[in-house]
Amino acid sequence: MIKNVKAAEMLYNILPSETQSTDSNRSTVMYFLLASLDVMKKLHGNSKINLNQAIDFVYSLQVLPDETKPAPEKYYSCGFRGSPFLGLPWNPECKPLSPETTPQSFLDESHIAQTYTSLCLLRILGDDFSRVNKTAIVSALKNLQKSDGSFAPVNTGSESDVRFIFCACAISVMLGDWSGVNIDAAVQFILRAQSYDYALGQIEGQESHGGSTYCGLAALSLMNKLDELPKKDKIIQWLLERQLGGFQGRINKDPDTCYSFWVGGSLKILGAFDLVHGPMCKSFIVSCQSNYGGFCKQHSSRHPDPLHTYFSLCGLSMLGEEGLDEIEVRLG
Amino acid sequence: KKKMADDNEPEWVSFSERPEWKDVTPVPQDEGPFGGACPIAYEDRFKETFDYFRAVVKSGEVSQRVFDLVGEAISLNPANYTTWYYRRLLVSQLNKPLLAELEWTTEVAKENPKNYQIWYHRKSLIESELKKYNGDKQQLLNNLDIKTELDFTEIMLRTDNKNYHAWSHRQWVITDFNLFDQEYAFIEKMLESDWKNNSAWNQRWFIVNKGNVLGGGRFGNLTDEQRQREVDFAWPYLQKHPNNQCPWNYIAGVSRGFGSEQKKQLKERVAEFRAKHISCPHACSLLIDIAEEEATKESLEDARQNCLDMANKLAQIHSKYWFYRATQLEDRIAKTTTS
Repeated sequence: MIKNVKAAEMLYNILPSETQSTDSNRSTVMYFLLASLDVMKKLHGNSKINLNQAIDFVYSLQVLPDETKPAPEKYYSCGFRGSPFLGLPWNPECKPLSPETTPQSFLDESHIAQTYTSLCLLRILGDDFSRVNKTAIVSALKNLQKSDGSFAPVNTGSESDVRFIFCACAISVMLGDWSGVNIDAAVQFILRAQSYDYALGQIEGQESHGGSTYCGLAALSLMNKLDELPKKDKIIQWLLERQLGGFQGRINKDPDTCYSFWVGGSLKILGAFDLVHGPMCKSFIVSCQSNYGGFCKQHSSRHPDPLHTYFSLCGLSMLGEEGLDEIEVRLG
Repeated sequence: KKKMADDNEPEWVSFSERPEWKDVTPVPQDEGPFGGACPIAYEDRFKETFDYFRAVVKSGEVSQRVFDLVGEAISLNPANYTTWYYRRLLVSQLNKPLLAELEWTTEVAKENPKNYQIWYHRKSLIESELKKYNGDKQQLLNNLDIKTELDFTEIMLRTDNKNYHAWSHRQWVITDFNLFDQEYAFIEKMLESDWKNNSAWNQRWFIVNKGNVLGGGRFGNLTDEQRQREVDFAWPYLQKHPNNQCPWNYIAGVSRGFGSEQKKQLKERVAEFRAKHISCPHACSLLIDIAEEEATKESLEDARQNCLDMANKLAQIHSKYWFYRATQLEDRIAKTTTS
């Protein structure tokens, strides 16, 4: 594990230029790195990671209410953005703005996945959420939910599917406030996403997929509505059949380490993780470990990356690997 | 350090050396006193492009040079949904022709096949265009050959025939513009080149259930005739490649609403197949499901035996699951009176 710790620390210190394409969602990469350290129990007490600075950075990404508008419109863009790329002034205290200084940019808005990631980051960093504008975020969620029950990730328009329902649910749990989510509508959307082979697609009619299945199951579980999903035995079968050593994300695709989490986690939620062939799963994940630390998508991959590293560690954690902390499967 | 230019690309010129940008002061990112967290070692080109991007966002300038700059920003980081949104605003404000923009997006997509944002960009552009015709689809189609969207998905499917976004995009085009009929031929073409392509199988399910040709409608509301036709469509595929799970799942799905006579026929057909392909796990699994549904003491016992076969021989990696199913069936058998 030591080389994995060192690799994560190095990347946290400076990400190579090849990661420029993740610039707009830097906080997600930050989450994968710090959460990896956390799973390896090397986040707190690590002299290389300044927790307060990390917390400040996350807060600097919070989108503040538009004081030129009345409630609830003033909150529509609230939540967290993915990075400082728009060049807005550094404001980790989240000092409220005045009508003269908002909106800070006509392009500034939060993204539901970044709001979710930022709250996860604050949690693992041990923050008390004191600077999180809960009212604003919950209002923003309410505005993002569409009439079909799904959630769009941004106020300015985007595709909507089960991924963002999951984000909305995880956010609501972390904030302890569900008033931003119409649970019945969200549940119906998820049920419609169930495919003819029982697993879930991103939206109704789309191919069943390990990632969508995780999002749907986790969301239902967080909403306490898992009972409404029919044929759980068949979903378990579908999930288990994705194990060919490691896990594949869809029928007839190659195994990929991150599905150890999406598919493994789904099984965990359904109480069937013990039916997984543990040794074969572990063996696959370990074979994807890089000599320089970190994990790759597949053993033929050239380079490890933070996403696959984090989900590989989650997979190993679920398999009971020594030295790794337990994860909160339903929050990712 | 400057990025090495590609052979085909003209060499990149720094913005600071471009006379047409002389009047603009670049705006750096503000990452606070300690340089933020998780910093990226930006290349000069990336940093500069976004410094100028930030400057025009701040000033709110709308112009051709901004349009081009946003295009450059997108090429450097196509995952940035904000720059795509900005591009759409500019397309609208500058009255940029739709086709040219769609073509440009195609070029970006070819360089970035896994990108999410290009799909919504195209959909959004077309929906905006439709608004110009007050929602009159016929008028839109007089001015735009919507098949270019399907052609685009085909280009992307050539590099990855299971590209999830490509198949979803097809579903959108087909649904909104009622192009169900011709999709059957496309699906068969895709299956011909890769019979294991589960996305293609899923597409068939989608068309059959939503398409007007077979008079589907809501999912799962097929007639017995339609279900039979689909089972017969899938059957040759599993005969050729018994261990391909796709046609098996497909048959299990379409036959779910079968009347009892057809269920019986399907059961016999599958049982016959199983006898000839004793190591095929999917045939066994389907028989188990059919037998469980039948729910007589005898059929449940058959199912239980098949579950043990799965656990011990056909699907040993999933043995724990099949032993669990067998145990569940034992309990059910105990509670079932003889039929």
